[in-house]
Amino acid sequence: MTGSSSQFQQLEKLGEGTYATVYKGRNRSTGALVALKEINLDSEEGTPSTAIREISLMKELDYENIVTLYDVIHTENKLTLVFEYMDKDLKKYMEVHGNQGALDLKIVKSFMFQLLKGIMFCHDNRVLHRDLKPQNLLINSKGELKLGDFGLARAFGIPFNTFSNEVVTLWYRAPDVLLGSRAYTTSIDIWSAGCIFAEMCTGKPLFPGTANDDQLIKIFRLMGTPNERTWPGISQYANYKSNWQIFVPQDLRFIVPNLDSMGLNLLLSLLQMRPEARITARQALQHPWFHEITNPTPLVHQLNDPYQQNQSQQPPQHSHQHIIDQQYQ
Amino acid sequence: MYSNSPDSYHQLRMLNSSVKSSNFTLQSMEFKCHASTVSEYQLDMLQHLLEMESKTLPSLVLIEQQPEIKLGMRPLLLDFLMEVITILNLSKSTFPLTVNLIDRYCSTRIVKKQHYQLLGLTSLWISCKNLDSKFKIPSLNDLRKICVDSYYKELFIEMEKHILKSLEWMVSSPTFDSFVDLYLNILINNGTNPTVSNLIKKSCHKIKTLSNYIGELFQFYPNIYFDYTSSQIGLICILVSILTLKIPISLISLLNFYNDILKQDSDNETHEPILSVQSFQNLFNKNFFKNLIKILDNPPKCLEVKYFSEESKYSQLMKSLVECATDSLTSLLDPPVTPRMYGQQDQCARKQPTPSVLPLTPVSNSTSPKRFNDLIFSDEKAMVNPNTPSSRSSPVATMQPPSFKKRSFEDLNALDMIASYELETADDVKRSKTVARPVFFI
Repeated sequence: MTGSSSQFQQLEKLGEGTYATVYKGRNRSTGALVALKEINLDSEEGTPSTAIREISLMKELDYENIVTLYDVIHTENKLTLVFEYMDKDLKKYMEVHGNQGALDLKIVKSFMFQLLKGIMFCHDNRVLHRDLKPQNLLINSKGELKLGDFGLARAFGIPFNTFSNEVVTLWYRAPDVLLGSRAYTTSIDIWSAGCIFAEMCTGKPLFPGTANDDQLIKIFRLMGTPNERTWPGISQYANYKSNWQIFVPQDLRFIVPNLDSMGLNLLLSLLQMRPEARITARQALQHPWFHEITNPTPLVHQLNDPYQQNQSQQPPQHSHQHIIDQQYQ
Repeated sequence: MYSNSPDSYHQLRMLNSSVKSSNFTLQSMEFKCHASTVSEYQLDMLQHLLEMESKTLPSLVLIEQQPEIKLGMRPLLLDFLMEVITILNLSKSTFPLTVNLIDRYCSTRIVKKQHYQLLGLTSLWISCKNLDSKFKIPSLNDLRKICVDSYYKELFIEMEKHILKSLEWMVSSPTFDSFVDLYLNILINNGTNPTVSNLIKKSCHKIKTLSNYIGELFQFYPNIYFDYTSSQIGLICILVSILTLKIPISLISLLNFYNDILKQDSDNETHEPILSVQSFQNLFNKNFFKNLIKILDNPPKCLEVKYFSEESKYSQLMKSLVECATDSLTSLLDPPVTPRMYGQQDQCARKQPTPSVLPLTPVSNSTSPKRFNDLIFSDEKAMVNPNTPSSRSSPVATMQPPSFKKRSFEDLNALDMIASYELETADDVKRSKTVARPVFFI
């Protein structure tokens, strides 16, 4: 923890978040690439609480599916977090490598498995990520997926105090949170994982809502409008309305046509409306859909990234279907 | 704050969430849901918390090497911080985390006397940022006001940086109350002994409140606090609570249950017990209970305000709990000791004479030169008539210390003292003039 900013050469900008800017960087002495997350310090606020939480949690979470924090550089008016360098985030990966965003099922399976492993590790260590979305899942050239951006994450207790419901980017926000729940639990990360699963298969966000209500309606249109019978206690939620348009649950087969039935079953367990009915990360990892990863046969020994190998022969296809994404940025 | 938020529904959601937080059935439903979900993770969580705890322990040996900070100042600082936490209505983990940060910083860096309060407040700020919702985090101006302009704003920022760097950003160490919650939850969800689970479940709330109180008390007493880790303190709190509430559960079997719990799925056989039966027996002796009765009956002022003042929501419950605690603990002692009556006011005065010069509000040339003259002046006023209300002004502007019956010792010498961190050091501690006379030795 004794680095100085001069130790790193700042290269191009990788992205910009609400409270930080991320640059590509190079360690001057070793030449290794890093990601530099720069946080401007406000003279009134001191170190932002998001940074305190993110750093202290990242230091706790040392795992293969979570981005490693190498160093923290604290200067007069800037806080720089030095992270391990990852090639792209999942969103960009899908744009570059996907068939109009949709990834090969083998890749989806490998990514889903790693995503769930990362989530399980967080939950085992009493941490909620609370902001899972393709932009926050980082992929390196070895095809490893890691959870990044713990700016919204926090540790939870048993039972915990109620939290803000200002969490998770709208599209990946669980219905119970949308309905006004503040005592949400590990299940909110699972819903996000379900949304990401479907998005990797189809290349399109599953529920691209524009506002809280619109988001709920988009979910209902697919999963069916809940009522007291299908979800006892739903009328207690603050955002409950008795005059919601009634939708019947759709068959997910038509929404995610390229996914096999076992995968659909997993998707359905991840996307349960009722938080208590949602599968946990640990259970999901035992799901038979992952059988070939958990019990590998010699033939499928490595789930390598075929795109990386084929890249020289096949130029990557660029998707132009992200108008909605751009609107949101 | 959210005027530039792209999400125009923010206000609506905030409104909705406040409606929801007033709905008890919904809340209890969600807590139930949460409990069942996390029960799958609870052993891993316990393991992780224990591991984290071992990495974030303060060292009494190193703290005692501080040239200027004496252990006797610690309870006074904590008293002040607890008061601030109660007023700001922060989460229950904020206090123990603050204490952990202070002690760990004192185990790594030398702290000047005049910066001890600064360290305390900044630690409070950090743990608040870590644990509380952003609406409750005090601003720099608030902090400055809380310590009556003892420190410049810049000093807080600088101190924050020092603390974070010295502790290598490990600022989310597990607190005793998270262990209490986890232990109780594990026991309730444990299917092997339904009678015990039910007994605990029934009085879960009482156990938690009492454990919280006892745990917070322990933070003030270095001789207990530094001998045990948070996980052990959490367990001791539960055991004491069970004892005082007269819940018919064997303490030793409960202890063994917790010590064995991690053996089941941990791969290394030589797993350290959380609290060995040996150290349990060493602790739970006559002396301990004697002292415990004393502590429970004479809490530091801040805890008295928090738990026993009329406005406090705990008031009734706590009063009965503490009465019950002293009763049942007294009956454990053999021969039974009658609880001491409250001392006469004059006796109390004789025992602890008011210092002729009241302690200065923290100030030093290096910290806030501008205010120096003012404070000298106000201190002179205080010396002229130390009992005028003006000299009793609270460090926190909004805070009016509620009046409660002052309890004191009648017969200190008759009781064994494990350690005496007496108020002799009070003059050294640079804090506000409200330092009443909580007794911090047991």
